[in-house]
Amino acid sequence: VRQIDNPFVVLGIPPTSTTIDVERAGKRLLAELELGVESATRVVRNDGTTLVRTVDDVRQAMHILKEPDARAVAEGMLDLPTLQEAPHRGLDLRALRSFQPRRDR
Amino acid sequence: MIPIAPILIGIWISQRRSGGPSRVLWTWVLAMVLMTLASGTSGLVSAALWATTFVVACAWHCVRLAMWFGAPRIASALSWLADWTCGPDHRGSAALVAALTCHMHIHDRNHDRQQQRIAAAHKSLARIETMHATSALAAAIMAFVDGDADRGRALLRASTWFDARSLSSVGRRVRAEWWVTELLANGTFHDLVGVAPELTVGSPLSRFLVDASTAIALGEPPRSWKRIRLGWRFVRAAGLRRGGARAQLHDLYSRALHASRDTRPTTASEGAQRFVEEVEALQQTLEDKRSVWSMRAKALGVADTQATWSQLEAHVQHLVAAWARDRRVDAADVDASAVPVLAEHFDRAQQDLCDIVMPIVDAMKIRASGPRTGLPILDELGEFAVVAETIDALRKAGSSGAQTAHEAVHWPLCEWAVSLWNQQKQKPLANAAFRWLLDDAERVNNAHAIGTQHKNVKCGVG
Repeated sequence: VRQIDNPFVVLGIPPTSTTIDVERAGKRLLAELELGVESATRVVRNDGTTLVRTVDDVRQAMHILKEPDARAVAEGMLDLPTLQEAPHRGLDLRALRSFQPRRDR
Repeated sequence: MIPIAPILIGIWISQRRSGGPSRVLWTWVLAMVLMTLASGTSGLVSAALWATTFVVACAWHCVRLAMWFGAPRIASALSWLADWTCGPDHRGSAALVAALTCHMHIHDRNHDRQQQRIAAAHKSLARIETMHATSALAAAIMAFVDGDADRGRALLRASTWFDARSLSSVGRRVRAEWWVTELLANGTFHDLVGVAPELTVGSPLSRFLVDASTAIALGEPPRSWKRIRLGWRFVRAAGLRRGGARAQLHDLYSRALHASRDTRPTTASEGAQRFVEEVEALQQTLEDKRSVWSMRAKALGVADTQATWSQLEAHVQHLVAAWARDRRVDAADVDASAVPVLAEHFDRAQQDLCDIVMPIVDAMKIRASGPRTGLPILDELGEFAVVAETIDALRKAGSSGAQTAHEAVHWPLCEWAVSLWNQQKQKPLANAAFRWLLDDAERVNNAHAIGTQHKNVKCGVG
């Protein structure tokens, strides 16, 4: 379970949520995803980036939070520190090479 | 009348280039003879002769045209006439231009046509009898075209071990550009510091990228004549490029000129040190929350909190492994013994790499001991590339990694290379393997192996 895939993050609920809260949040998200509500497909991660949420993700998150052992692990993983900003990487200049692919035809 | 002067110029150029009459000379003579015949005839015959003269005299331009139109077979066939650009390894160059044609048309929406090109390029590769640097490069580009970037990078790296004298002019340029841009795209500016100058020959773009990256990585702008050289290399790399490509190069040039210690990107060891601190903080947080977590787990109805805590630790272990992969942290840069979770990750990574490489090395050993039981040469090259790449990764996976890799791989691989030389007569590939083995021996300072590999490398490529 990575922090970004943490079931609490996927369902958008706090770790204090009860089983009923989990069930309610999951069903609401499933209904919204079925209807194609745009806001339901996006989750803002702790680092500010966005995760695309799917029906499978929601079902899996609901399933995990129903199991006491798996829920305890998810709660333990929830507020662990994340990595700081990644060090500077190189540059992607592969498009400058000779014999580059032509555009779609 | 036969034009004697141009023929003499052709002989002179040919002598200067290869030290003896070569295909360049004969192509030149043929073009002159065709031109003479064309001037003495008229009508369709003359037009046909002039057209043939153009193809013979400007073969490389015709190859480029065929590549642009997406005709790998024609491009390969014409490359045999373009000795100046595609010699001396014509078979390898034919495969290379076919592979480059496939790469140029990789976005072609006509799937069938692209599949035909790929089939033609693979056929051209299969015709290779002796594996030279150009052929290895062609195999690398085909791997990229086939979507296997890891294999492509391994083959690209393997092509850098070959004797560069067999590399055609186009091969030299392509290898330099692909090698340097792949290093920069998958690594940092520091990876380009110390790239061997012979790996950037023939490519103004690569030379500029190495110079600019070195200045940025070290945080030292070039001084005096090196500043002028950087400017010249920027002008040559930028050439006639316009728009975004020119802007990217100019941005890099500007960064190199204004490089300073303050803007210098972190080195691998600095990054690794910061990473260790972050992992230690993670472990500390985990330990701090253990008692509160245990109470909460019991409240949730967890029967065995110790077992669930172990599960949580295993998840953290996966998280750290993912972080280490993402950051490309090398064990050589950190003291993992102080951070058990990290030490475990490196041990596991080392074991995984050994599991990949050892079956391949064992198979190579068996082939080396048997009489003439080698694989097709492309497969032999592929196995060498995978072993070399995996051993390189093993070296990064722990201080003991280099020694472990050397002990397990050096002599079996040496036997394999010797059998390639003696039995399969694949001398260029064997020589590339000996060069790699020499580097391997020097890394662990094994005097006996260094001596042996020096002798092997001196045997040349036949």
